[in-house]
Amino acid sequence: MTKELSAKEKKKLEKAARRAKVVGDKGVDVEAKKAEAMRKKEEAMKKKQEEAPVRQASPVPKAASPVPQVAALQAEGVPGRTRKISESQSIDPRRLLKTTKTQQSQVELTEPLFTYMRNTAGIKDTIQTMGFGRKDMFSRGITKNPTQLHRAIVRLGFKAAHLSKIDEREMAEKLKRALELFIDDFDGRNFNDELKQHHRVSIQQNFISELNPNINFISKCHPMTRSEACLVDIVKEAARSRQARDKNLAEFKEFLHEELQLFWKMRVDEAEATIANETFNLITDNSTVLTFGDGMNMVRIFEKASRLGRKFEVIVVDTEPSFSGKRVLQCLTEAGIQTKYSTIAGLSYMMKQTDVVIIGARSLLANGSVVGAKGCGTVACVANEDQVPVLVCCETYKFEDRCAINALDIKNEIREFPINEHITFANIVQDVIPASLVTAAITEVGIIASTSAATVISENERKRKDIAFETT
Amino acid sequence: MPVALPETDENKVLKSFFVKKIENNKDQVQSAIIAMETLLEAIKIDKSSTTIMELIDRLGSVRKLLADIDIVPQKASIKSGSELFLRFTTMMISDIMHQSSDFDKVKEALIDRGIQCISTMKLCREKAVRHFQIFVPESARVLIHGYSRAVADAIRLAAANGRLKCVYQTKLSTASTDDEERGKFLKELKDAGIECYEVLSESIAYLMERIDVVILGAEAVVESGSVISSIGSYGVAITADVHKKPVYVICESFKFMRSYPMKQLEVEQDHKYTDGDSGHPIGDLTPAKFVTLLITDLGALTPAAVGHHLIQLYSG
Repeated sequence: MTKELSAKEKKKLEKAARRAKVVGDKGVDVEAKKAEAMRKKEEAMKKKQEEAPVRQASPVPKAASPVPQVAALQAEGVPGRTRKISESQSIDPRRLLKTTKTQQSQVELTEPLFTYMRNTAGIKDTIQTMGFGRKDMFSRGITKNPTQLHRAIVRLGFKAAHLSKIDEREMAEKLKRALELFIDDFDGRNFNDELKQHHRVSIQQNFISELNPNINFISKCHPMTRSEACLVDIVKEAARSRQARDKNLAEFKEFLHEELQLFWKMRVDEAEATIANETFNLITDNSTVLTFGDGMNMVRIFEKASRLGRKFEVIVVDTEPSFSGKRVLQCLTEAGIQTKYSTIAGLSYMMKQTDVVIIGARSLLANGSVVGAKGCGTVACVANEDQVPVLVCCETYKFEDRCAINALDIKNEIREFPINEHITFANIVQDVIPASLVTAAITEVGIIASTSAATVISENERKRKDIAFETT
Repeated sequence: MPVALPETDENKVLKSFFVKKIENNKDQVQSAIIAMETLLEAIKIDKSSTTIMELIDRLGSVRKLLADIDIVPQKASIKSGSELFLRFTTMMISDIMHQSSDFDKVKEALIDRGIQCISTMKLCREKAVRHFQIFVPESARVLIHGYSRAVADAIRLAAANGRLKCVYQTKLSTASTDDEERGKFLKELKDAGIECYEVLSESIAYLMERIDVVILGAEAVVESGSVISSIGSYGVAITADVHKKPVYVICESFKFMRSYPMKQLEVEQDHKYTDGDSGHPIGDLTPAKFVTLLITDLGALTPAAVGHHLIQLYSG
């Protein structure tokens, strides 16, 4: 009985949704219909709550759910399928931009596995319903612009959501460019010089309140990696800092630009050059280096070592489904470096020929664990078995002040990878290498034990506070 | 071939100062501390520098000079000790300069700092020895490898506190300069009523099941927490690991070195061989994962803490 009822309910709701989808010049009607549909769904939801106990695996509390229809359907529990958000048109775009943690999981997997991880499946449909679809980016369905999203940020988020694999360094660069455009276009609309005393909204607060929805949008399109999060932190910190306090608009923007440029120059570009030098010292002539294919950082480092005159061989190890090592292979071969290629199935064979393993990291954690592309944990394990040193290249800005012991970590993410309609592929994106398997970390402050990451973080904090203290 | 430093008068004086002190080492002071004293002497007798940077350069060249002197068989602790001394004395140089910009006064301040530093360093061994005492269980059967004065002091104190039952001291297959002292040390313990056995290195695995604690000395400790000590320590540590026995390394904190060798071959030749690179090595690298704890004057540290300590010291 219950199931029949709910099937009927489902049809009703779908109809209502479809009707509500019709957007046109009937502005008022649409609004009313939407409101009605919302009410009906909430009633249905309440009914469901009384009848069937809510599944505890769901990380999204019902009351705050922007997708009540999905919640209602979950009680039915058709196994093995994920629900698409596009079925419901009652998403309030404004709600999506708020910073509630509960909204992180976009799609509810009905199996209670990995539901705590960040999940971007279904984001494309969400973006579409927000009005930023492929064809008409800015025309549809939103009555007034509820989003204060900057066009560069939207473009970035849109691209990110549609990419199947993300090179984190490239993403960081794109984000930096988007942020620069954002800063340029920031005109402090709501900031009024004369009314400053009355409204007490300074440029700083205004900037940050305009920046926040953009950042939330991006983090929903694709969960931000450590490097991108760091960029955002730098901009926010500069905006909030004492030095930015008494500046007028033009000076403020210039200051932010400077800070961003300085950060990028010193802690990203120069750091990478220093790391390349250190790695050059560590690779001996006629040795074999094994790298795990992902990201162009390692390519640049190896190219530099080869240009400086080292003769060495590189083995590139790759995994499915994205096979990002193929690009690494191509670049290295073009640089004239002798390269071998293998998938992770051939790892133990390749390890017997290796002298040293050098991989890039997305982040280094306070307990010495390394967050890298998925599969790097396996590489480190096998290397340890064969007594091959494992070296990790990581700039200090990527150091994080948290701990993780394995890949089943709350900050990990699942990215959508369609295989066929019957399989939900849990494409876990990141992997964590435990500290005991990492021999050393190569950073711009030198070669350090990976467990010393925490000290480097605290030293940087201390220095920053000293500098901040001095300038006031 | 390293370029020999010019045999200026000052250099000659410093060399003879250093050599004399090493030879007349009645108080059994560590060679690292003698190196520090030589550097202090270098500041005192220095006439040619007129600015701080020149002085620092001069001290750097004295340091290289000391590293080349052949009389001391293992140079790792001299290198780390002298680097630490220079770091301590020149660290807050901007502070000193704020007080007065007169070069002579700055020199005096440096000398005072140096004297302070050396007197603190001299107490390091005692502190480490004291920190070690809680790690000796009741009626302990202890294995010592190689001879180190810090270890010897630690054992003497433990014996005096009545916690030792039995001491196994390994005998190296080649004669070394420490044989005499080792013999004296064991005789002392025997007279104090403790069973002492001098065992061959080959029998360590055989004895490991009845041993409670393994104690090693250290020539130097590298950034990862791995320890450079007398040859055979690596084997002893591996055997202890298999039998789940704790391995304690007693050393002073000025032996922490800022290098990161990952393999035996990456350890500098100077630290391993006495004459050129022929003959048998006298030192090896015990990886950090086999070292349970490093007992130092800073307390009992895990190998990971060495990296922390070095970063804080050399980056502040």
